[in-house]
Amino acid sequence: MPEQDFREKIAIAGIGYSRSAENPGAFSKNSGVDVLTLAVRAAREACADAGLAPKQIDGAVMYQIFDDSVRTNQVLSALGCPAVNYASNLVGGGNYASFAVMQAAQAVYHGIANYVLVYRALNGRSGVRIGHWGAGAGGGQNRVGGEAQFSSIYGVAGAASQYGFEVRRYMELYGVTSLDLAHFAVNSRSNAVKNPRAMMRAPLTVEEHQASRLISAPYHLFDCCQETDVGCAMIVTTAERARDLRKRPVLISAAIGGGANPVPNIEDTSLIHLGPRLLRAADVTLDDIDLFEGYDAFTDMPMRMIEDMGWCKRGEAKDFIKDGRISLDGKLPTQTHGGLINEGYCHGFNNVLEAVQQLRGDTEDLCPNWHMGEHTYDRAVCRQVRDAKIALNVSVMGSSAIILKRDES
Amino acid sequence: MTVAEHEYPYLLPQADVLTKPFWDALREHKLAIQECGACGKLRHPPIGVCPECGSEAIAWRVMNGRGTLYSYIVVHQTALPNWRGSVPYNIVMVALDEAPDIKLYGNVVDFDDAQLKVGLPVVASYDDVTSEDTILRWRVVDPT
Repeated sequence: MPEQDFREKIAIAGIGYSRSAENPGAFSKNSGVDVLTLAVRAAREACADAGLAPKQIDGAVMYQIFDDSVRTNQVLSALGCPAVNYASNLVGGGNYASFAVMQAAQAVYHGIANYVLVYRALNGRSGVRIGHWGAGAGGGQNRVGGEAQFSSIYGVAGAASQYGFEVRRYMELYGVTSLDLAHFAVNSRSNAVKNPRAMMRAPLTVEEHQASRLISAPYHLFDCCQETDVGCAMIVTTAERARDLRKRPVLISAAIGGGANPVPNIEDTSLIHLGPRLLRAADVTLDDIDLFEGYDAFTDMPMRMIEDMGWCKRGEAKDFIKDGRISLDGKLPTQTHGGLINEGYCHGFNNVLEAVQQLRGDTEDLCPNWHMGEHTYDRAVCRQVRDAKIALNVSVMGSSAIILKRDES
Repeated sequence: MTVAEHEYPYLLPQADVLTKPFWDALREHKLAIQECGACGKLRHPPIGVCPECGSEAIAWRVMNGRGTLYSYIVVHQTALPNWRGSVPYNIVMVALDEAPDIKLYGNVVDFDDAQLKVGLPVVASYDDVTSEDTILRWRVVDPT
């Protein structure tokens, strides 16, 4: 029996975004609607993509933080689903981006439910601003408890200040510079330019990155993702059922994690523990992986994941990412949609959806017939990776990860 | 400068049963770290059960206040409204020399942010910010 018995037996049958006539790209700074509407729009699009009636969904997995989203019972009810055989409401952050899919896969594999909806929906800019955590205090209430009593009193608030400590140490210990991060940012943006969903689509140069204002040094503006309003959804079912549906299935090869692992130092990611076990469970090597989507709340994060997975040594991602190695025609195409930084921040979940599209070969770009899977590979307009078979998605700081595989049957 | 609590523009610690001894010690200008009353394992932030041996016995150890700059940031844009007038400001993480696994946040005072560097030797400094609160800051130790 393989390490993970569900390997390649469970599939992602469809994906969807919270698109509307006013906002066909789904990602925005102000959705103008409530979070339930975003979740339902994304779920309905995922069902249509799969060729499934919403009423056939009989389970759901979601994640949220600071009560910023809508529960599974609200969404399934709003979709008119008559049965709820499985429901999971996860409370946490970007650590669940890969894990939520894994949990749905487990439910399906064990026969608890047949079609499980996985979604992340939030008004992250116009509603609950998770990027502003820690900032709620003050203004009348000037005392903070919990762990924040040791950090927020010094001005630690929001992700850029928290993760700034990690990147600073990483940069100083391994000789990585802001210019190195700029090269990563430019590659991501060059992909976003060809992504109609992306919020940031203007071309970006290394010089513009370096000239952008400092947020929390060493982070410049263009190292950071943005608070976003959006909903993303997918349908998970057995590979067997998925093969009878509308789209080519994407198989779940292996998955792992869900929480931060204890690591010796803040510059380490959980992949130092999870990476080898994940590859073994999927029965693949790094050379087999055709594309990589890493949780990029900030530019350094996927670079550190590339190192901790073993593509190169610690501190060497700065060299690895040069010479086009992470570009669309390189050895390891990375952030093929522009990542969270450019497409928008659906708490990492949109990175999983992007990997699904790439493996199906129907990546949404500027090719005239992208939706029919016709790609030109002209890099001025096309961001489809050639013959993509296997993708790795990693959640925040390597806390969970998933390997997806194109169905060859 | 010591001000009345209602005049202090930044956030103050809300001590609880586990953390009160830490803040009480700072009030006396001592840096005390919680340790297991059974096996002596140091830990921070304070918790009720030892991860090493499972004991619920709690003790406190006064440290010598010397540390090494573990990491730092310089904040230029903040979500905290009352800090906006203070940017840019540094926030540091310090690893204690006597217990390098223990990391403490703070600010380095009286030092040029541009000269901050991981590995700088620092020493605890005690800032009586209100009539009831003392918080931890850090000073870079002059290598000469």
